[in-house]
Amino acid sequence: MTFSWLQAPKHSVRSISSLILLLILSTFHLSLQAQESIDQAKWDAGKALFKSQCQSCHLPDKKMTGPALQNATLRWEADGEHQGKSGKEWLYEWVRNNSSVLESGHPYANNLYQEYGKSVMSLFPQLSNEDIDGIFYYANNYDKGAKAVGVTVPGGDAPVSSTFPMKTFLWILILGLGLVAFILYRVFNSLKRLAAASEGKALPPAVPFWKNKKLITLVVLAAVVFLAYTTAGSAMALGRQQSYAPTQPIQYNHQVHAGKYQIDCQYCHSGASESKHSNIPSINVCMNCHKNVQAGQINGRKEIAKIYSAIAYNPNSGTYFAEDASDEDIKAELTAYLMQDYESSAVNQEELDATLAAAFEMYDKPVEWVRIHNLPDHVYFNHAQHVNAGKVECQTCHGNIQEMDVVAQHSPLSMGWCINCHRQTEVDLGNNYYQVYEKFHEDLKSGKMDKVTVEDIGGTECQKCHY
Amino acid sequence: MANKKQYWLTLEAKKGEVNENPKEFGSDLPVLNSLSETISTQKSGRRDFLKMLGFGVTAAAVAAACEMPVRKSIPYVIKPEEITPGVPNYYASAYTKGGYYNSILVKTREGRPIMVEGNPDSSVTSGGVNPKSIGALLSLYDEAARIKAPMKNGAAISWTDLDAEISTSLAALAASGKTIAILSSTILSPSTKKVIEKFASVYPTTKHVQFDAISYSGALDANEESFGKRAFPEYHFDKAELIVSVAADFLGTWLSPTEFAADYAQGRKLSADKKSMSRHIQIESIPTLAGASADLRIPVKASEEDLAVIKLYNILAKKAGLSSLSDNASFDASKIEAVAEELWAAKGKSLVVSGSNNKATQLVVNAINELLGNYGSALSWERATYYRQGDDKELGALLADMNASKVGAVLVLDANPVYTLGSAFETALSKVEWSLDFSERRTETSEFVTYVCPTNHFLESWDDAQAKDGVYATIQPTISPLFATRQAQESLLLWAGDNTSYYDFIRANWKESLLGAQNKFSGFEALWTNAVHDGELTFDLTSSASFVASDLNAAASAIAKASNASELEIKLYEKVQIGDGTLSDNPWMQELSDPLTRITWDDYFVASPKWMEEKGLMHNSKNREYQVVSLNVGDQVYTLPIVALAGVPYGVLGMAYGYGRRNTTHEEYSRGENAYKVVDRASSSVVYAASGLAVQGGHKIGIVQQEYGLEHFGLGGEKTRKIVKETTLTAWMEDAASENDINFGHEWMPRKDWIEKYSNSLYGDETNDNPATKEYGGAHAGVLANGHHWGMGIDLNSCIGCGACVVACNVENNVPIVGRNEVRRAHDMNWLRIDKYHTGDEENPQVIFQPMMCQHCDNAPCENVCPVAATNHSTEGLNQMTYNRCIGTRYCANNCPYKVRRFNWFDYQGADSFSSNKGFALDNDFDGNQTEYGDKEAGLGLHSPMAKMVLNPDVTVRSRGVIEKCSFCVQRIQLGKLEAKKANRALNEKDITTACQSACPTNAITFGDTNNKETSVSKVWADPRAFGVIEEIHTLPSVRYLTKVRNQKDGDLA
Repeated sequence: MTFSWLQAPKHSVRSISSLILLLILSTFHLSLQAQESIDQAKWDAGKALFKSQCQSCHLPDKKMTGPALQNATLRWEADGEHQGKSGKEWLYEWVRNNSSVLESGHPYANNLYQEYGKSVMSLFPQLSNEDIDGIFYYANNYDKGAKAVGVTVPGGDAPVSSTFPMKTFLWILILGLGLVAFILYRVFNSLKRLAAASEGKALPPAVPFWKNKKLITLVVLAAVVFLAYTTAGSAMALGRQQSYAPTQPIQYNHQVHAGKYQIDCQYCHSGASESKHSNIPSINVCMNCHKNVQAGQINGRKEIAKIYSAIAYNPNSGTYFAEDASDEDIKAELTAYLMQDYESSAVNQEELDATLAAAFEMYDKPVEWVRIHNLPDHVYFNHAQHVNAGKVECQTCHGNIQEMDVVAQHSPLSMGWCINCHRQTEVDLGNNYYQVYEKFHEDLKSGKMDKVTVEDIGGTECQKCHY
Repeated sequence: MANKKQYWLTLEAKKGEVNENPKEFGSDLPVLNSLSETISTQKSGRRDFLKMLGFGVTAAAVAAACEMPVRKSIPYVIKPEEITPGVPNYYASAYTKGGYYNSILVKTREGRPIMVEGNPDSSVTSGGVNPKSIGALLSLYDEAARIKAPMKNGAAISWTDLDAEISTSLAALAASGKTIAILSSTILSPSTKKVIEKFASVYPTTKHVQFDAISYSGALDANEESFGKRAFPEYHFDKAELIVSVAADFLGTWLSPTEFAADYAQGRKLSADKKSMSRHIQIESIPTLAGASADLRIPVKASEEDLAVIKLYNILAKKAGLSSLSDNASFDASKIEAVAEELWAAKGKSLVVSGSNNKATQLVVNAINELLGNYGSALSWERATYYRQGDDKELGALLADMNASKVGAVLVLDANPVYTLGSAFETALSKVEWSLDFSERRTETSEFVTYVCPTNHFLESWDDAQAKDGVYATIQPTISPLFATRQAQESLLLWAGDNTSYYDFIRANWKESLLGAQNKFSGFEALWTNAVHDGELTFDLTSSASFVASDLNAAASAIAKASNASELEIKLYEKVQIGDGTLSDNPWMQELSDPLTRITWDDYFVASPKWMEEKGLMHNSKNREYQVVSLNVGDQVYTLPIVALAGVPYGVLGMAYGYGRRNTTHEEYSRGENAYKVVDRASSSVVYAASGLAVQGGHKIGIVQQEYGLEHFGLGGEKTRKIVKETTLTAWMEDAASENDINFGHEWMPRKDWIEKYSNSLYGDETNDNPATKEYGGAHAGVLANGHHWGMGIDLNSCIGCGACVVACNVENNVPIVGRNEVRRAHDMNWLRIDKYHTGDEENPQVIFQPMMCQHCDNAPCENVCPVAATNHSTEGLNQMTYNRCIGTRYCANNCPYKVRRFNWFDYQGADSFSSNKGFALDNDFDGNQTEYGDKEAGLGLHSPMAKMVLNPDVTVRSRGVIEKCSFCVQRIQLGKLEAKKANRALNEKDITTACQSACPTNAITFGDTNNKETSVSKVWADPRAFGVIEEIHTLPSVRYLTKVRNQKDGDLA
């Protein structure tokens, strides 16, 4: 929507009010999407299991370390009966204990094993038939339920879908009223002059409005207030780094990993549920997948080469470089690997040299990531408290990471922002720990309270974060 | 209820003099001198104000325009499985220096040790910590003092060259028949001994001599004669109904104080279910921790301590129908007679210990215990203990050999003989071809020897320890070696031609010697894994030793001869915090105040107040300047300040070991005189005649508590309010709330009545009938009753004043070290202090200790005076201190009746980007020199980048200009709650322990949720003995103390 009328404030009051009406309507407009009917509970449960158990090796729609799981049920069922057990039964057994299936000589299973380079699948004896059903239900319908459970991202008072922030509306109102006041003032003055003229009194000389002392005072006052307000605001924002998006040593792309391949955040940031830190993953975590995935979709081998270099891995032989490997050997191997990015006829030597140099510089060293989310030393923040105990989605604070090519700090990380969330967020009193708040349980039951927020249990007290 | 006991902190207070000078905030804020001059001398007008304002705004704008620093986050390349960054790991280990055995848990964060806690699974020290075990943590990171690489004659040498040189030389010495001596302190490690055996098998002229800095050789000799074992029996202080200790400070320093303190407190805890406690009589000259806790303390002159043992024996022998020994008639022993009577009555249920190192005395003590039938109950030979193993006879023989040039090389292991053995050793050592020290840090010895082969700190080492028969401990590394050091055992193995690592050697040794000796584990891996995990393995075994009578008459005359009575006696004693001096270059230990004198950082004589008055040596009570005196002791002249300590007998001076270190990196920490210089190891006595007393001048001492003792500022003092409460066992049996009364409106009434009558109606809501909040009907009782309310309980009966909690608190909460000058200015920073009060006779007072920290008052006087609300109350009853909001007005500290709020006068931690904040030239250092606060004093502590590795990453490092105080370890509270939430369960009492609580060897401190009536802290709060300090002013403190109960008899005070 364009606001061309802003440049031309000549519209009548009527046209402004009709615009406002339109905008209010548009605020309430929600883009509803048609949904196929799926069993949402089963889908959610399946997704959770898929993410925690399968996702490191499987994708629903693409081959990864293991086959794509979409329609795996159909493939097994189509394979039919062996040794008196149906394809589905074999699939259950395969998931729980694939080695016994392989030993039984099941042909389809053994073919799979050969096809995927004899890489052994982990055992999942803890999964029940229902669990496995759920996982495959999700895998088969992974693209159907996903949009229904989008994540709301708080970015202010208005919902994200709103295209018309409250602030703009207020400004328009102020300008409009100002205009009305100005017009009324002119009308009043004109009437006064007319009255004076009709009474035959001498008219005071007309003062142009830019020489009107009252107006000048008003403008100066407004300017002072405005400057003071912005100074205070900027002073408070000192040291905050909202939208900070530094260049990282490896151009890791969250959009590809978390978005496209839907790798669970905590697969890599495993500390988030246990520790105060969410942990940037160590290289060995990257290697879980990238031992097999040797070429990326955006940067090809350029960035993955840095991983191999950092952990001293030779992607050509699948072994680690010897400790006494010479620089030349290492460079030669890395070059051979990087060459695969190019058609043999079109090697961009300059680019190749730069890539090699960048990768080799990181050889056998920990990766120095640039930390994006920084809190002052006197603030204690604990990921486990929020992710594990509070069940807060990562996106609530970090934004839609799964859509970011380069991660930027989404939230201001200001104290006001923290406190605001603590004031609004409801505590899940279902956690047995919260039984200690007997009074709240009583008040909820009797209807005295309709919800218990983090603030109610002391979440805005100083020493929850400062000690 | 008239006739209240008078408690006093200083001698002036006892006399009713008001101590005028010491004020907590005696000086103004130290702003830049030039600036303050400008402000005070020149008239500043509106223009100046505007100039300043303009400058300030511009400066802020310029500063703000600077770019934010880029912070890196560097993960592991391959993350070790057991490490999750941000989550601490605990490793079981043991502190064994000098034979002090303490089973510990080392808390590490991201691979660096940051805290030492007691190992609750230990059968020996059962979860308690010795202050020294925690202090040793800082020595690990002492970059300046640690030796970083091998040296020869002060110059660097590579390990390879050194190994080649030494192996050749050792072979040559062995071939020529010259002795290779390994001189060590007590070694508890069986594997180390095995290594030495192995070394000796390659170099057959090797001789291993152990000696203890403070000798226990005489006592060991006596036990060898009486029981055929050169060891100590197991002492069970919990099983004795009557404990008589003659100058043995078994709670502070003697043998295994952490273990004994736990047992002792076990025998003295009282509850509705346990209505009996042991009785403890201490006969001693210099007041000790054990003496402070005793029900009856009998002061005797230092020369009479051993004679008292003979007296005891004679009276008991008479009763038992045995012949008595010759005895010194001049010694008045009427009180000893009463003790003997009690002992006789408690036959078989008593325990007599002596701290003497005179073999003859210990023989008589053994005879007394045998006569009383104490072996088998409070004393047992079922498991012999090996806390001290030094042998002075062997040491003497070695020195003689060295002097006769029969010794080719001396290898010093875990000892500092140049300091502790004095010039005799230096002379002897100069006659040895070459010498070698395995010291991990610079010491007098490492500066003197030919080679230094730095060993690892024990937190970087694999090792084992055997404290007792059948109790084996493992020591495991908690950090990779910080420097190019090599463990001594590995060096010895290497020179003996064995290339195995010491770790493999220990395992092999355990497999060989322990696997078969037990039946708990069938395989070695199970045994080893369990040992490393638990830190300690205890095997069942039964053994005993039978008593062999000795010639006691000879012993008696030996005692009489050694008693060294003289007009002015000087007794050498060991301080709880400094010990034998190993850790005297450790600032944590130096700043831990002496429990009785409350003095930090200084070496001094202690003397009787009466004697001091007579000699005109008393300190100036106005400016607290102490007299410095010089004394001739043997061939030494000692010059030290002299301090009056109530309880020291007339004509006796006490002098501590461990000071007067020379040639160490931190020499300035360990000022004073080296008491070892006069020790005559041949005579087994530590009492010497002093003469030639002369005053040398004045000296100001760093002493804590006086500036803010509750009696000065505590609203009325002892005459109107009881700060500590104590009663006797007899009175307690009649009335469990005995002496727990309150003076309100000039009327004494039981605390219970006071609560009933006033607390609820006067301050609170009369209609409140909620039992949880009725006791304190404060305005916010309703809020506090919902959810948690944190509270602490402290049993004054169990607190022995050892100071482990204070050090633990300092380490856990990043409490800075301030140095001597700052303590002198009352700027000490301890969040937790152990207040000491004296009561009774000046010459023989009783002592009462009271741990004092922020009381987290529910009606806190500090909270409502803060202009910026930097301190306020949480719904969980915590008095919160928000450093980032504090502007340093110190109103809160002034308004705190407990004086527990500490102000950061300087940037003590070196955390500030502006280095000038470390300090300004302010004041003279009381020795007449202008000094700056800064690197020399406090820099010791935490200014070096490596030392900062000890900081707890969960606690803010406070900057200059803010108030700080005890937070009830809020970081641990939050963590405990989080663990419960993560596990989806209710909070368990064990989820949260404060640092002081976990360190306490006697379990005097309980902590938890007082809203939950099942927690142990709620039980302490409900005890009739419970009281809050000066609660009559309606502060509603969240710390309750339990009245101290002494097992006194009527005649005791006569």
